[in-house]
Amino acid sequence: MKAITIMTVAMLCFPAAVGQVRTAEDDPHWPEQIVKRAFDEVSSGLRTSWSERYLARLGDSAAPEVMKLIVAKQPTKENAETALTVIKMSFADPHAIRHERDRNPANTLILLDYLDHHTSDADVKSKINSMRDRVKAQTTNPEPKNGS
Amino acid sequence: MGLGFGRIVLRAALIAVTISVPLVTSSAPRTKVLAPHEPIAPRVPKDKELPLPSAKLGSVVGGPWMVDANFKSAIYIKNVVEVYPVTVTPILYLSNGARYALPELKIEPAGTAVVDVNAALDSLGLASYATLSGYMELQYNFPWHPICAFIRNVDTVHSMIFLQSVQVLPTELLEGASSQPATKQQALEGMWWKQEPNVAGFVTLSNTSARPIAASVETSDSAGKTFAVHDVTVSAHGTKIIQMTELPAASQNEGGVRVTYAGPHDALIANGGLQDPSAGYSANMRFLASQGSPKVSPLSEVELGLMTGIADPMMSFPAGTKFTPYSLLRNTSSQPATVTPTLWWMQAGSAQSFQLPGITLQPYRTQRLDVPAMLAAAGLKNFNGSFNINFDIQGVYGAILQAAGSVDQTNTYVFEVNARGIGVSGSRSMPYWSTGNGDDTMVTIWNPADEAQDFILKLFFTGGQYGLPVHLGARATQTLNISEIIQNQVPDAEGNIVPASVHNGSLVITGSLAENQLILFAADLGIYNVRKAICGAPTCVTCNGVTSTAVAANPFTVPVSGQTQLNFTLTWNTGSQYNYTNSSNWSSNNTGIATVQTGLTHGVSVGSATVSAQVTSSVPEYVQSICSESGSPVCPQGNNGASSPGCVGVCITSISPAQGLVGVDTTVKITGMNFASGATIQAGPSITVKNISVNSSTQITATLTPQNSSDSGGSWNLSVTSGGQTSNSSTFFVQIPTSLKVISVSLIANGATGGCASTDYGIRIAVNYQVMDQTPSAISSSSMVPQEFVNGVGPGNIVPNTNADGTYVDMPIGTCAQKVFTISETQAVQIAISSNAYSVRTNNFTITGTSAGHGSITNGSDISKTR
Repeated sequence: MKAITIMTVAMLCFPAAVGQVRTAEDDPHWPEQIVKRAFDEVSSGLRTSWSERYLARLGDSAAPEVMKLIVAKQPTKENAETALTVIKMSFADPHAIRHERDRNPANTLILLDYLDHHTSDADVKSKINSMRDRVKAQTTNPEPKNGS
Repeated sequence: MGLGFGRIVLRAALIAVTISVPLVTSSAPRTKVLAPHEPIAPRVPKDKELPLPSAKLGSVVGGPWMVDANFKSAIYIKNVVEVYPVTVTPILYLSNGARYALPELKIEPAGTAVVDVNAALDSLGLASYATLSGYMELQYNFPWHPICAFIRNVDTVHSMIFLQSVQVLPTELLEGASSQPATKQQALEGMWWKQEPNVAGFVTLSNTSARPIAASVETSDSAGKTFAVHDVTVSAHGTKIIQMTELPAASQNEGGVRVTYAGPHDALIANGGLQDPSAGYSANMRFLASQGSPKVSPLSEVELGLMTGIADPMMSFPAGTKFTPYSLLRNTSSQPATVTPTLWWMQAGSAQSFQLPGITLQPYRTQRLDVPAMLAAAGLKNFNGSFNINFDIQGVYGAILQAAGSVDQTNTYVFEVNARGIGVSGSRSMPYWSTGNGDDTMVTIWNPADEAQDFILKLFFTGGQYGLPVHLGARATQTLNISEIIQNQVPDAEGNIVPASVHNGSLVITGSLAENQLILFAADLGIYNVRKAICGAPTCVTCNGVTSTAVAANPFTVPVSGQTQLNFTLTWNTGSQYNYTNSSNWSSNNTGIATVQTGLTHGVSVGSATVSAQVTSSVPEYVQSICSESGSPVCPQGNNGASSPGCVGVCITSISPAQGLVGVDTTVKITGMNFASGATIQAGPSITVKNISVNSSTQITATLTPQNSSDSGGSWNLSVTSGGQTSNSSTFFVQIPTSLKVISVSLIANGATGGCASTDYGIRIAVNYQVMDQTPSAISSSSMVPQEFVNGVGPGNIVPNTNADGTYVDMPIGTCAQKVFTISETQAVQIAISSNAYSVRTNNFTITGTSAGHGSITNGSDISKTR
């Protein structure tokens, strides 16, 4: 019975998959590429439109990649602030987030806790708190899209 | 003043002129001129007539109209269509450009309407006794220009009259025109002359365009040397009157006037007048558009009905009134012209002539002819009566401006004559005649052929028409008095008379057999009023002729080995249609599919072909208003033709749309002939055909889906098989996204979504793109997904889909920063359709941030923006 169910699901999904436009955004390594690029740009003081465009579609799936970079680079004040900017860009427009599941900031809140725990700078802590509130508020009550 | 006329004829026929001098006839040999003898195409019966072409907006304009305490102005409008009414909206423009639309007028078939400008101004709350002027526009919706009109400005207190004809407003100057008219240097040439020393002059300029026009009016002497210049700017739709104060002091008695301006062709209407109110003298100054591409060819023009000597007693002029004829010529071209005058007059019922030596007119030279001396040379020194001067002109075609007429010894009675071009034509219409309120109308007709011709003078009036046969011997002239025709009450061939209560209408001169009979004549008309001492008539006449052509059936269908009769129909401006099937050459563009002989079309093999017809000899073309000022004073003729596409057997005539996007369903409508249920469509290996529906024998709908591959791109032959027959092939084009066209580039404002903050360095832009195919034409489809690789990373979707018209906006593009920077980014764009993607563009961007609030972006070609 289970085998039949799996086959049925596979058959139903196959035609849909054939007719769809696949992009690199479907690649599991995509968030890593985007976050790394964005992290480097932001840390050097730039905000390119392309990083903004793709980060905004990642939502919560950006957080694990940011976490990897922070762990690798050390959670300095500068890196913490860069991470906060990347998080802000990832949740810039909740409607743009590609997958519904990534609108829930579960990983992002863990990342924020991690950053909070590893900083003693009051200013950074304040920014972390405010980002936490903002992410929670945006994702539980997303603002309507323009014109709606 | 106004238009010239001949001597009144009692009861009829040819003028018998009293000649008190020995007769001298011409001795110069000349070529014999024959009257046309072309076969006459039959009229199409009413029940077989084709529908008229679609109506379209059109306008004629003319000016000036002038009113004051003494001047009254009226617009006379004739419907040149004899079988349909026409609705006209008159519009008055004041000299300052203010526009006043008057109530619509419905003019009955062949009817005439008069707009009293003074009354119209009063109804608008404008004081018509004030000194006002402007120009007028007559608007209509009709398949062709259906009206002829003129403006009559009369001051009965001072016995002055000025008449203005109208011209067609170019399409690009019509209200709501989509295209911008081209601005070029334009020139209009006129002529002035002084009948007596106190004559002054004025020039009026009316601007029919929506932009101001700067114009220059130059007055020159008889040799063309300028001695006065007036520079003016005429506001949009405005009118300016320029007083020629230099004329009374001018040492010469004739010369030229040139109006130059930079603007659209025909945007400026120039007219003018010469006047001496104290003597009751007035004459019209006409202007001729300078010939853009001068063509040297011979032309004959005639001044009809010039009067000399003691006035005819029947015309009721004061005793002792004596007329002296005048004639002036001006060469408005840059090349010399030779003009050879010949006098024509009637004696004892037959035409007499005397040819005078040729005159060479140097460029821009004005010359007054010594008409009394010319008469004396012809032995007519003491002649009392009317005569014609025929001019054979060799020079730039239509470039000789003429002014002629007869003036009495007090300069009060001025009978202007308009030069008429001589050429073969169909019937010709004149817009107005009047016998009311002391008016009478004289019509002069001259037969320039060396053989007799028969004509019909047809009078149109409210409630009817009346036809008077006119037989003119070789070179004979006849002058007809319309009041006499009415008084005679002689029934015409159809038993009609003109009721005595009728006092105005319009007229047409046709061949005796039909309106489309080719004839050769010259005619002029004069409306005069002895009591008011005014004479005038419209300068322009209508050349009746062809307005549209059609081969029917359109499209045609014929079986293989079968035959069908096609007809070639010409529609005249009068509304009548004529069958030229037997008077035309017929051809097929594909004799392997269909052959044709005198319209009879035979099906040879399956497929489509186009059958064409063209008249074997020229037919008259319709010109709403033609006159010597128009630069082409002879009614034109053309070799009209038309064609009709058709099918033999099963065939396709069109596919709509004839293109579709690769990988996407396109529903097409296939139009053709002889489709039957069960029809199949063959479209080649790369296109899947489904949902075939035979809607009728002439239409199939189907869904075509080209394979999603670049190999599917390009033209594919499509055919229909029905009832065992396969049609001809028709092309269906498969579009492949190939490039992106930049429609617009805009800067995203500070703080706007996607934009930089005001304190940021750098720039953000939005680029509006159109997806193009391989031809390159726009692809209109929302089934395309624009994707990008940025610095080799991707693809990512730029937007979910294109708009339905195949456009999309890529935004934001650019970089914001808190410092000075220069970066390079490579954006490779592709268009994805389902599972396939097509590369369309690569942008190598250089983006800079130079200071807070400033930056730039460029791809080095079609995208560049600075903040």
